[in-house]
Amino acid sequence: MAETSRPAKGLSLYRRIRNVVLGSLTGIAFLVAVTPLLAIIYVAYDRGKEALSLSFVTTMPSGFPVGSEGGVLNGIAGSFILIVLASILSVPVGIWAGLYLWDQGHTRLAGVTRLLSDLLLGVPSVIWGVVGYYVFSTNTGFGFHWGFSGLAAGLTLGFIMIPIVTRVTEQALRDVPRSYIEGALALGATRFQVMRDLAIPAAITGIGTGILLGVLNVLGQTAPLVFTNYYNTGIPHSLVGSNGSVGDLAMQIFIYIHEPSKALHVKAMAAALVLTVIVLLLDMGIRLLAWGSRRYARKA
Amino acid sequence: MAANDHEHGDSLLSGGEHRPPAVAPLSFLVPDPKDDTSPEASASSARSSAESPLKSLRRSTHAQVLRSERLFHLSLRLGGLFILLLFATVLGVSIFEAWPSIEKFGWSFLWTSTWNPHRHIFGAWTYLVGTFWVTGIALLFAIPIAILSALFLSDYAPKWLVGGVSTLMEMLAGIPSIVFGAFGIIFVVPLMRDHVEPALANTLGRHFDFFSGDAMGYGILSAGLVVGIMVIPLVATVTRDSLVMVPRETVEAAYALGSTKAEMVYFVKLPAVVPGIIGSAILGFGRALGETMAVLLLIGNQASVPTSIQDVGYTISSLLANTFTYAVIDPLFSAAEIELGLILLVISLVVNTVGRELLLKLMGGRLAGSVGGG
Amino acid sequence: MPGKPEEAPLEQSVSEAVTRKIEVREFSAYYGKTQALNSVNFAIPEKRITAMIGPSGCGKSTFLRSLNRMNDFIPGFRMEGAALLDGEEIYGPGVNPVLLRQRVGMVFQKPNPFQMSIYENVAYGLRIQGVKAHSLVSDIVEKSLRAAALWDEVKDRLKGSAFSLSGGQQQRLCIARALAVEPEVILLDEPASALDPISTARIEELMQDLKDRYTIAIVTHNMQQAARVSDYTAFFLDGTLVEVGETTRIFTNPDDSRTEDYITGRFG
Repeated sequence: MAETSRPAKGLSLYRRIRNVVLGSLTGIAFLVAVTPLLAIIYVAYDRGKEALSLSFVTTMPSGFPVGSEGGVLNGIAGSFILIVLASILSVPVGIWAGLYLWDQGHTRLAGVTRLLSDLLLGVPSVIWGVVGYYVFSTNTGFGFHWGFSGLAAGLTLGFIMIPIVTRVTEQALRDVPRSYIEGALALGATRFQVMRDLAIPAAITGIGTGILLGVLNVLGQTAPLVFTNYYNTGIPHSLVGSNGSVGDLAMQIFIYIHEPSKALHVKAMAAALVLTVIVLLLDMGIRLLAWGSRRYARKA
Repeated sequence: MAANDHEHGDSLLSGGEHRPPAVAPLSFLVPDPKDDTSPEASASSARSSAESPLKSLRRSTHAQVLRSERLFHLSLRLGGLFILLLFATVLGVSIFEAWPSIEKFGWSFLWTSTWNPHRHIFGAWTYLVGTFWVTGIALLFAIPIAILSALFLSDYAPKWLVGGVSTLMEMLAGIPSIVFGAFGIIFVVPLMRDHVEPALANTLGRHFDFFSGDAMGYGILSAGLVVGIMVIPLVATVTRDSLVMVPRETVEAAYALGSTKAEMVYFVKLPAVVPGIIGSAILGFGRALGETMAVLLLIGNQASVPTSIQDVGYTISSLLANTFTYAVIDPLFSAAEIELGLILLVISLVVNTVGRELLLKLMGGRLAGSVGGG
Repeated sequence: MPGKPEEAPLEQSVSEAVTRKIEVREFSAYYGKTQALNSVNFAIPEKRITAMIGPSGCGKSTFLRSLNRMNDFIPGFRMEGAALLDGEEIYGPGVNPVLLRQRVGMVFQKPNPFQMSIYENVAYGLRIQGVKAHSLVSDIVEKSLRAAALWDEVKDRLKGSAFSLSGGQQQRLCIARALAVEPEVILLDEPASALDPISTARIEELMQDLKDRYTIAIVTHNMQQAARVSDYTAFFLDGTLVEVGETTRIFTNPDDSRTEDYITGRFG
């Protein structure tokens, strides 16, 4: 029988080159992907360093145009206020919804709820802004008429956070091992007792991590604020009504960078650096929390 | 006697209904309580009297338990109600406020390119085109880089580096959009204006009009690139997650046949995760759609249909963010803008659902998805 | 031959009259479309140890878990026929499974203590019933730990974490926890399969002590264990109950050839 020719066994040069090329490409691509992060930090530092100082984060903006002197305390304080407001709304509601999805997750209603919650995660931020505007800021059927105010923005951000907290809560509860829960059920515990005594305590770190993830998300949101709060160069006395806007770090960057003033651009970059550092620290904190709780669970 | 004791406790089990022990067709083991005078019986009755504190507690909580469980399940359902209400609000507000425009323009809104607030003529076409241009450029740039980066993370990064490097990528995903926007204005725009765009015009631009144009720095190219940079971490991490899930046996089989690493990756691993890649690309698409602030700062904000890659334009999200607060005074103007938003919303919802379903099937419930734009 | 309801699935030894604590008639179980149990008929006698043996997947665990309605938590689970505890239907319309499980306790294959102190673990079953009196609780905790042969080892560290115990100790803790609820029946689902031989032996010893006061049903894949420990043995195969009888007889002179094949190791 004639032997049909087969390619010689072994590793041809072509194959070897192909191998190396692919490997290098992945490394290069990774560098391309990651360089912006480093570039952002570098550029922000480079263009903003003149403005960076302790007083930058501790004083309010002043001068003319406002902001050319002073710092970004209004933005930091305002961001903080907004996060607190958003959490007050989203944490109870989100956890409650997450508990519901965990407890009755196999029902059709829960399936629909879960789908809608996931859909809400994909709503563009401008839409949230519009919704917040109509629900909170203006005089539509909802009854709130808060104008451009911190409360309107905070609650809108809360809306954004709700599906995040819900999803994370359900996942954290589901991660509790079945055998653990069965141990209690077999003793004659009711679903409520199991939830209260076993599931929630076991899931609490996951839930906390998730809340922080939600905060991380809304920290950088700017678009919803455009519709509900806009901006304030100071810290207001009340959170509703015509003077109720708060500053916000992200919004501040946006406004400063829009102005044609060089001084403001410098401050904008400095503020961007501050915001980025806050975000990265929060991110690392979340990771440490998650890692720490996993180590704790492994001991058990 | 033992059987009698249990008869007292019957109400616990059957809610008050007492069923007499069935006459067993199973012949042996016939319990005859009266005959059962073994020491067991007296022992167990002694035991039951000693236990009575516990037993009487059980008796009293029976109805309580039933009631509280029902209450519990009902009150939890309220939590789910919030989600339903929230969704209804989003959809409802959007449709309701857009209605005047929907009513007036009908379907032609989608392909009309005029946008004239003074004359009350509105059409979505310009913004749809702008949105898709920016998204398209972003994805074209982001997806190949993201896939290769994901491969780096899953297969090529040295073991000691993998953790740190993956974390780096994930942290990139958390940087707010406005920071990218500011970075874009300060750094990317001058770069484009002074270097990249002239170069492009002088080379490809000589042959294809598509690549020529005035080098302004602003425009769909800059916006698209920056959005692309933002989308890379999302697509990369989700792709990496699905790459990591390829079973070791499959990979080892490829090696056992004498493949190089590149061959294993290209012929075995990548084909295995195609649904994951598609899913992550779709998620990236969804994220790019919703991107607002960076685009707002970089795209030039002009309502013209881009004909070249160096043109300026407008996306739906950046238009809304930029002009809505002026548009509200005019009911039709604001309705038209909200109708734009509604279109964006619907597209985003569809895209995100498809992406999620694909990934759900692949990854069985756990998703690495992040949340839409900022 | 086994299978027909009129037949006696259990033998009576000459001198004792034994009560049927749990009885199943024509009991079938389904997970969705798959049938896991097929018309099982037998009775579990009171204050004896009944072992259920059979190859993997034969339905013995499904059967056990049906007795305290733990299968209710599996979506798609469905049963037919009757299961009776002291003559009352376990799956009857008015039955609250929460209360059922206070009468029929369970110990699982892998020890699953709660993330609490040793004391709190044992006391948990009482707390959920609303028992608050401290002296009553600590009394019962001590009695249960003694009954589970764990008291001497932990009496000085009751406040310590349950996870500081070894595997065998954790399993005995789970037994103590189940005992604290003062059930009438204890179901054990392969309780020693995750444990070392010494811990296994202690648990087998424990079961002999417990059978004076509790009805015990144990699922085991270890035939020697069934032979050592139980008074009655039931052999399951592919969802059907093939044969049941006094342990000594089943292991020395089984009626059914399939039983014999399994016991002599021809398959399994």
